[in-house]
Amino acid sequence: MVAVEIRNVSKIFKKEAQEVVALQDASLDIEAGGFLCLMGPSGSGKSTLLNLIAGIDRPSGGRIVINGDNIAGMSESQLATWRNHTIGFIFQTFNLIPVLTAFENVELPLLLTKLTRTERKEHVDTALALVGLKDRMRHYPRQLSGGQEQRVAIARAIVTDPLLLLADEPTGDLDAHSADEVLAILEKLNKEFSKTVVMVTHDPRAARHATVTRHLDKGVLLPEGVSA
Amino acid sequence: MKFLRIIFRNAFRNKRRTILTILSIGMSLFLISTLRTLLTSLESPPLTPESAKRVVTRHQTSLGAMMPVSYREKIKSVPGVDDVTATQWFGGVYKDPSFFFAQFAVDADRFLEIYAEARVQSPDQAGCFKRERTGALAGVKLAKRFDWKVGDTVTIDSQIFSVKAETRICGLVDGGGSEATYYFHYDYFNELLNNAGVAGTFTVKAKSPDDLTAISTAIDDMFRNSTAPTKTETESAFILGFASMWGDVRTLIVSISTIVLFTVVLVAANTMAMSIRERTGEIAILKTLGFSPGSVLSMMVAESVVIAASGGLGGALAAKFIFGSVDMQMLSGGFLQGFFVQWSTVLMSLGIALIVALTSTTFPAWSASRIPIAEAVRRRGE
Ligand SMILES: Nc1ncnc2c1ncn2[C@@H]1O[C@H](COP(=O)(O)OP(=O)(O)OP(=O)(O)O)[C@@H](O)[C@H]1O
Ligand SMILES: [Mg+2]
Repeated sequence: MVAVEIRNVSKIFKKEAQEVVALQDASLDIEAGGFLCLMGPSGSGKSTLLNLIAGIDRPSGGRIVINGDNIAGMSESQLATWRNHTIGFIFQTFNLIPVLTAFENVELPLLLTKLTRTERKEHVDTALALVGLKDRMRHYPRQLSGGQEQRVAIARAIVTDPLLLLADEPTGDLDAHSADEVLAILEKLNKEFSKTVVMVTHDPRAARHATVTRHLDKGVLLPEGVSA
Repeated sequence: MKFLRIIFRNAFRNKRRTILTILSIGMSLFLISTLRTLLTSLESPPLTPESAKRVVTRHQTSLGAMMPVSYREKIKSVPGVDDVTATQWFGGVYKDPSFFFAQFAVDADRFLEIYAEARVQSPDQAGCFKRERTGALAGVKLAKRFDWKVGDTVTIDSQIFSVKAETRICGLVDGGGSEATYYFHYDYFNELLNNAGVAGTFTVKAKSPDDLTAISTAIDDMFRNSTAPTKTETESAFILGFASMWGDVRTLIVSISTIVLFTVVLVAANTMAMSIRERTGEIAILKTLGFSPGSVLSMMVAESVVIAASGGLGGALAAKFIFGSVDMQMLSGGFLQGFFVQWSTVLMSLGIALIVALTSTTFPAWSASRIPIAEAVRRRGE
């Protein structure tokens, strides 16, 4: 089954008179339960493609269908609700809200749902347990290490039980040991909980956790098995 | 409700900045509340049923100009007039010039009937006041302030007339604004002035409040072509006119309040703009999680409402508490009566705080909530 269907998608940024083609006519299917790794040099369009899949940016052309929904046709607020249900997103850094504890950060997306306080607590506890940070739930982000912060971010990304887990260089700022922990969690979520994962990375070691790796170069999505 | 926590945490994320903002909004609204209370107190002196029956006649030109005391009997003959007393501002100093209080020379034989709301402690005291040439009545608050007892001799040195009144306290009065005022005989005052036979104002009591306009017109018509034409107005209008000696008090107070309000909006706008700009990245995170631009905007506005309302409520309540515990009547020498902050003023202050919050925050919050997520994330890295 295909979870994400990308057809002839392009993204052009207009800077004054200049046009930057960040993504050019990309087509790609992501299998449900797959673990896709996007690689490529800096500026090749990896983040652009990931943002388009997440619905936090809009394509200049083409079609993105996720689980049967064409997200290009959604309004801003429909898209927001859709993201809340469907997408878990992990940025490279600064994922957490500094004035909220780990628990409260993970609870954030649930505040938009109809869940009761008790139900929310159950979900948050489960998610934090999954990333091995239940004992840190009262800590504020500044009291956590970089690796722990990323794990809290993962807990928050999965707490709504989304279809897709998207991560933009989640280990880019971490030391090797913390990076391994984060990757192990992503792999576990993919294998044991059948989450579809798309991860952008520069690190070939990180890419080994993926089932499929695709490369981008200058806005072009290269065929499978080809790298720049 | 579940968003309250994040709203409060955000409001106090930079404690020092937030507290300074609350303080500046609080002080501004303390000032505005005080000014409004001052205006209310000036514009509506406590109207007892008795004062609603009185008009005050003064010289048409100014409060300082005098009229012949013979006007008293002429005014008394106007139809509808119950009684009249000369009321002469003495402008005196008792011992320490820095403590100001009002003294009036009045017609002792009828004063207590005309000012029926001023209650003397006993009929004996009232009798003494009417009888004794230098007898005086002291407001209870004054007596307390100077530790006066009935029977004490009090010498007051008039700065206006350069005479000394040596009076003896016959009794203490309370009620209707008399508690911070000192009364003695007009006849004695006239003696001190070598029987000049002049008075600055006459207080006229009508038989019925309905006749006030007719009486005022009749009095002023009577003296129109004399050497000292008069102006007769209700007691409350007279007191406000007294305040206007320092200019158009209302315009002054309203302009000061407007400037203060404008300043506080700028202060709040500056703080909120700063605090929102720092959060571009966090706003992008919230939106990624599914928060709509509208809900992000509402949270920031709510945060600003929390800050402004704390300041507004704090300032107004501080004013209410402070003016509730100091005696403004005494501090102003009897001039300001009923000087206490009403709940409507506290509500007004809260309302102003809400307006401050909305005007200062809506625009920066609206623009911040509209920055596309991808762009905000890129900006954050810079
Ligand atoms: N908002 C924008 N305005 C203008 N150009 C942009 C914008 N966003 C991205 N670009 C351009 O699009 C191209 C692709 O950017 P993108 O961020 O997708 O690269 P990337 O592969 O994620 O690079 P990196 O590995 O450095 O993160 C780059 O040339 C970039 O400068
Ligand atoms: Mg990138």
